[in-house]
Amino acid sequence: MALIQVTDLTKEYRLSGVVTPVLREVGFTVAEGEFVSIIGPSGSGKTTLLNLLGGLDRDYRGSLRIADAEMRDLSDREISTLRNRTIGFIFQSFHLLEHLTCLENVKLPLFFSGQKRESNDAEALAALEKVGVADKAGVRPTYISGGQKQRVAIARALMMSPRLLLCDEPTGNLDRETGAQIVDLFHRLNREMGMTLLVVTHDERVSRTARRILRLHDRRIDDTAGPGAGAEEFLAGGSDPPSAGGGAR
Amino acid sequence: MTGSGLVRIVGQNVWRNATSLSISAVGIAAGIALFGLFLALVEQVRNVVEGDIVPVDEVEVVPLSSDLQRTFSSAFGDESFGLGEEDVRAISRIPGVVEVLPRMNLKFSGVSYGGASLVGNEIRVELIADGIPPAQVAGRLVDPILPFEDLSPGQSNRPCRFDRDCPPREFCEVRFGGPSAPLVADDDPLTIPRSMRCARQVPTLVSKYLLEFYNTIFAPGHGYMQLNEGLLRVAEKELQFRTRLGDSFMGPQASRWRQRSVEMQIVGVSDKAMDLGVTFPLPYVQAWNREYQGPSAASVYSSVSVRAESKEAMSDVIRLIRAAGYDIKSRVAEQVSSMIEVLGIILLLISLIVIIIAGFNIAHTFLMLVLERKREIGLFRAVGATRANIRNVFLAEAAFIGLLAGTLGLLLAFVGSLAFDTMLVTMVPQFPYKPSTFFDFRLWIVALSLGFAVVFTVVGAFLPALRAARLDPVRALQ
Repeated sequence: MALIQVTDLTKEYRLSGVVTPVLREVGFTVAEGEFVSIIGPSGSGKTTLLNLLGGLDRDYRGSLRIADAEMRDLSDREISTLRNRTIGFIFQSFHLLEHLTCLENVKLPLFFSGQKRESNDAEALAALEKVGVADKAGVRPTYISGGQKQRVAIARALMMSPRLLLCDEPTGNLDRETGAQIVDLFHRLNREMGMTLLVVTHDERVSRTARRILRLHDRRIDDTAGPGAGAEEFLAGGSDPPSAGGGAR
Repeated sequence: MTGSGLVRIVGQNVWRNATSLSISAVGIAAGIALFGLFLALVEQVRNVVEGDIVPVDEVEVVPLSSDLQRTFSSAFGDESFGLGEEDVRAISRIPGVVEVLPRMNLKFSGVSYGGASLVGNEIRVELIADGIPPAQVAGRLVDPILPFEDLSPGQSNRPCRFDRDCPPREFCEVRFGGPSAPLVADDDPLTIPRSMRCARQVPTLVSKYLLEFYNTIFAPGHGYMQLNEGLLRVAEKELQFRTRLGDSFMGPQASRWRQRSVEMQIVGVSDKAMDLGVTFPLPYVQAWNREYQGPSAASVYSSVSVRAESKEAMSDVIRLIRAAGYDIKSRVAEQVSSMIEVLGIILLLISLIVIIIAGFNIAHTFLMLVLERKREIGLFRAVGATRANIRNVFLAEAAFIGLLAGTLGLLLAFVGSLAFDTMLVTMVPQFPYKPSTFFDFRLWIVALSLGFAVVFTVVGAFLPALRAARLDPVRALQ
């Protein structure tokens, strides 16, 4: 069953009467449990697409359905609940709150879930454990490395056990080795938890690890099969990405 | 969003922005300090003025009449103009009335003299007095020298020529027989039968107002000793005075052959006593009015003091009294009450202006905070916060700041009141009804001040909170 269904999706920015098209009649589907990377040069609309998929931006034409819900038709409460329970975000710049400890950062989604859980701390600690930074629970993000920060951000995204992880340039601020560890972590989550991952990147080495690549160019999208090389390939440096072929549109 | 989540986020936000929030809260605290201080001051002024000087839950009911009617009845010596027993009962049945006190004025003149042992010289004054049913004062006087009641049934009535012929607390009284009123100037003294008998002193009440007037205006001006209620019980001899009934300095006098002296003993201070005069048990006034003005002068009351169940009920009571066909003698209380109201409103407006300016300051601070926390707001939205959640975080933060500022303001007000009190007690000379404190911090003032602090801070933060809630999460995260 398709977790994401995108049909004729068009997105334009209007600024002072000037219309700038970003995506034009884009269409693709992503099934539950897939690992997909979205690649394209800077300004190709990768992040815009991710914002639309995450319901952060709902000004579009066409159809965009996540978990069978048309994003545009949801109320603020419904879309917030979807973001809280179904979607997890991972950002390039981590977006960790410096005045909170790592554990408190991980617990943030719980505050907005409306659920009163007695085992809040235990769950957050388990999420940190899963990404290998449980020992940093009581430390503020200022005092940990970039890779550890991204792991904490991933733990935060995992806190509500979402079905879909949207990652925006997750290795963009990390060195090569740390980036590989993060990519490896993504694959583990995909493999062990059946989580659907959509990774936006302009780094071919990251995209090559996915089994499917959505290539954005000229405001359209090409759907290609990826090599699914895994993190070892990424660490090794990899070769050129496979050529495009057989896109949805 | 869970309550505990909101509390945690608000607590963390307040902690990290403590400096900027404290600075903007100072304005609210200052405004609330003024607000609380002014309210407490007005409350105390109201307590003193409306409670002691001109009670607003009391009015004096008089018969309905035009000024012309009053002039005529007075000019033709119609002393039956007044309120009867039936009127008193009718007034007491009016809803909201909890106490009625019929009063009968002394309807002839008299001159009182005495006080030589107290102040060195004999003071002579025109007697202004009335009588009230003694039962309504019974039990309210603290340890009186004599009971406030008609003491004539228990007197010795022993024949006498001088006071020294009488037992303690009695004096030698001249009593006239024969017809009483109207007395005319050419009465033949030989035709008036008279006897001299020992009689009990007449128990007399003075008002707090008169005592205060004596202590603060009269005594300091003449260098006389000041009096208090305790001293009244000790200075028994000093507070006796004689009155020559029928005599006058200024008005018409009774025939000097019918003038006679009685001895009075001040037995206490009461809020039931007339303000500028003295009050006797009603039977004495009735007997003297009958003696000097005829039976009709002793049959009706001059007025009825009415006490309502509360200040708030007073206006309804007055309306019903007027509807029942009576008039209200004086609305000084109403005017004073309005003046205090106006004073209170002016003072509150001043403090409200300070609070409103502080509210703008709060708005500015929160606007800055929204800009400062833009990315954080974007993150909150990404992890599932609704617009309402974002708005509520800022409003709850404002409410918390308001509560803190309100508490600080009240503390400042309290400390300020202590300082003012110390200053006013030591630097301002004694004046009538000068209270020991000028501020009355009631629980409702505390609650209202805190409520105002919270409301104004929340109102100040409302637009910034709304702006935060409406932030586009995509732009916020950039």
